Amino acid sequence: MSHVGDDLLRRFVEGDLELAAATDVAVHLDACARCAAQAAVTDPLASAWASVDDPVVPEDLTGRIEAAVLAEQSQRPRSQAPSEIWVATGLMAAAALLFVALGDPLALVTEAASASLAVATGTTVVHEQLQLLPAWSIVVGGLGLLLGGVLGVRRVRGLWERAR
Amino acid sequence: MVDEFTPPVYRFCLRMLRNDQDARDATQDTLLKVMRNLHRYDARWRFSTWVFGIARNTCIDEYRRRKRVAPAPAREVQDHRPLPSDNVDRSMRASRLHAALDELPELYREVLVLYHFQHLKYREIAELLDIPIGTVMNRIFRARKKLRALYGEEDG
Repeated sequence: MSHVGDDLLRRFVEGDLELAAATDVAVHLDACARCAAQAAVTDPLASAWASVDDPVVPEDLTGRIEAAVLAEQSQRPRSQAPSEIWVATGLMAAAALLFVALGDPLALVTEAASASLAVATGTTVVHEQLQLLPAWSIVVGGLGLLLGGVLGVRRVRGLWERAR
Repeated sequence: MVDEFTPPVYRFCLRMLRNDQDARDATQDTLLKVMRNLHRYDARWRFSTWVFGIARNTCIDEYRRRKRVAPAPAREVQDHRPLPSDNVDRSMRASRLHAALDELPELYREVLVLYHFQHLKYREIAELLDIPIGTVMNRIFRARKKLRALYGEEDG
């Protein structure tokens, strides 16, 4: 990597370069520690800049901020988690109740399993219990289960990411 | 995260606001905003540049609040370290530089603080201020010339 000459650097520091040339030098200084250090000592106010110490950070500040962050984090899950969790649970419970009220839930579960098996094996099975349910209840119950499941998974994933 | 960023953010806020209590509050606000908005962080930026951008916006909000409620308070930056006698010259240079920086318009002081005290690169300052690097250079050149004139006046 070539370096910026002393005269060019002095003109850069004193602000005597055209803007385009100054921008080129700035881009070089960002990438070249040696020229950046040389520019720093070329600055007419170099000794003044070097004389300024970093301000002392108050000892209690980090603790105060950590406490504020923890307080906010402990409040946030309480205000947000219940809504989604309860909506998900409610939807799934309502769907389950619908199926219970309209048919024999054990038979429905058995038939659902046998239907899946039938699809996999290519056989034909008669689903008496499923056929007894009105079509609207299957649609409403199915949507309830689906929405409840999606909300539940989303919430659990959010909690997992936050925990990480 | 709080451990790592509290010192540099506090120093930046103190140099921008020149008031210890305001700098403490601004530092806390900044880090709370960082925590709340972590999901918005764009990995194309350096994380520290993003944090300083939030700190800068917090300081700007504080400037606006001051303008609404009262004139800017007097400088209250304090260095609690002891002052050995052989350090008097150094201390006087620092005081003169601070006095000259205080006289600069916010726009100019900001770029000098970011470059000389926060050690950001020119490109990072451009990203943080969301302006072209040429504009950054223009501001820095004007700021340095004005600062040198003010520092010279202090000298006289």
